[in-house]
Amino acid sequence: MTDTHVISLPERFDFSFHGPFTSGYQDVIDSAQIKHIILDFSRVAYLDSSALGMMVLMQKRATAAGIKASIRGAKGTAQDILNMANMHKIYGLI
Amino acid sequence: MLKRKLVVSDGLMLIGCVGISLTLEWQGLGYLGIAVLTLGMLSWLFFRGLRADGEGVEPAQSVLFESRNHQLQALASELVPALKSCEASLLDIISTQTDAVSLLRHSFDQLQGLMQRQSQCIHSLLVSSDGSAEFNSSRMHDFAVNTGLMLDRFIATTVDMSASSMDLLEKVNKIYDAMPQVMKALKDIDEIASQTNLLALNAAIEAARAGDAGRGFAVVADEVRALSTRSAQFSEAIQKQLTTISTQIEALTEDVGKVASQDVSYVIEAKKEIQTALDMIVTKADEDNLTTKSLDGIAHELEEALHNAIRGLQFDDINGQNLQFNASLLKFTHEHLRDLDEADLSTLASELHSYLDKTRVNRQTHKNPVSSTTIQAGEVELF
Repeated sequence: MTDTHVISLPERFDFSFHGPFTSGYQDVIDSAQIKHIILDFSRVAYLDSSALGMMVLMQKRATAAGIKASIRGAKGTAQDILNMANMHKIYGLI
Repeated sequence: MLKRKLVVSDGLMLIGCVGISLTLEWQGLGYLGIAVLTLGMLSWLFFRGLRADGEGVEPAQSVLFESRNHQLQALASELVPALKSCEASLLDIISTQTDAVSLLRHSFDQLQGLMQRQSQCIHSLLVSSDGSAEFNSSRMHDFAVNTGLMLDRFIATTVDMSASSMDLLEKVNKIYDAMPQVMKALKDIDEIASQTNLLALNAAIEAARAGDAGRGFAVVADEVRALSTRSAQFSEAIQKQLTTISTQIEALTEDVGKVASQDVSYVIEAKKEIQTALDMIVTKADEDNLTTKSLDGIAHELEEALHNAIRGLQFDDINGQNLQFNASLLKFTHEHLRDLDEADLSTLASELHSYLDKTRVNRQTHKNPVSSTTIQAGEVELF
């Protein structure tokens, strides 16, 4: 059984995805079997500040639980926004 | 026959002497050229006289002298106008040179003044308006950097705020999620109240059936019924409150969601524009720096060139003295040649010799670098 969990993000990563996102990663953290959470940005075309806030919160909680968090497949505007918000400093890039 | 021979050889000799003197003149030894010319001509006349003596077989001594005197006078009358015109030319040159040099001096002075004004203009162009030594370009550079940092901080703050909002929202949601349980508990309480009510009703019926003996029990049953009704009322009031709280939490969630969801893509554009402006400013600042340095260099070179030009002008004095000397020598020579018929040849030669000696001594005691033929040689004396 793999200890990596991939969260696939929608095309528009904003507040509307708050519920599924939070409950999704909270379950993974609570399960205590996963050591690595990967956020898959390959579909994301837009993200707003709430998405960035959710990511910061998730990173904090994952780190507190000893789980590594990474970003995968970011491109275009999404990548620009992630870089601007210094997400590459708190997340590992794959 | 004697006359024909004299004219040809004298002419050749004259041409030769003039050639040598012109060559010397060309080398900058003007007075030596004149001296050679004059001395050469005189010694040729003397030598010519000796030859005429040796050949003179048939004519008498007086006739020979007469003829030589005649020839000398003819030669002098040819030489005098030539020397005079040389002198006049020299004087013209002196006057032209003086005018030209004073014009050049004036121009150079003007040039120096203009150069200073130009440097001032350039300086004021590069220095910021408040007079501080800091250049405009570096100020703009700092401004752009600060704006970039400010945007970064703004983004960081926005993200932090968003994260806190999300945290808050989750905590509130936990309360919201707990609502159904509370409602269920209240519903259970309602159930109990209604059962208690039913129970009290039964008790009251049983008490009525017991007659007087059950009267006290009927009072208790009534009280229990009243309590169950109050408990049901309380439960209802709490449920109403909880419903209101739920509605408020829903509204809060929506509001927090709005606050947390800010479009940040415009910041990307702003940052890109700032970066472009910053790059341009840095490029401009670097160019300005280079230009300033090169302007400094140019100003320095201009100053040096100007100094050299002014230094070169100071040789006007030396040249003027040289020309003046040559003009006086020419004057002396043609004046004495005019008096040739009255004066003895040897007297003329010795006068010329003493004149040259005197001038030479004069020049040496005046310490003028007259002997200089180039500007470099005169440099030490000038500065």
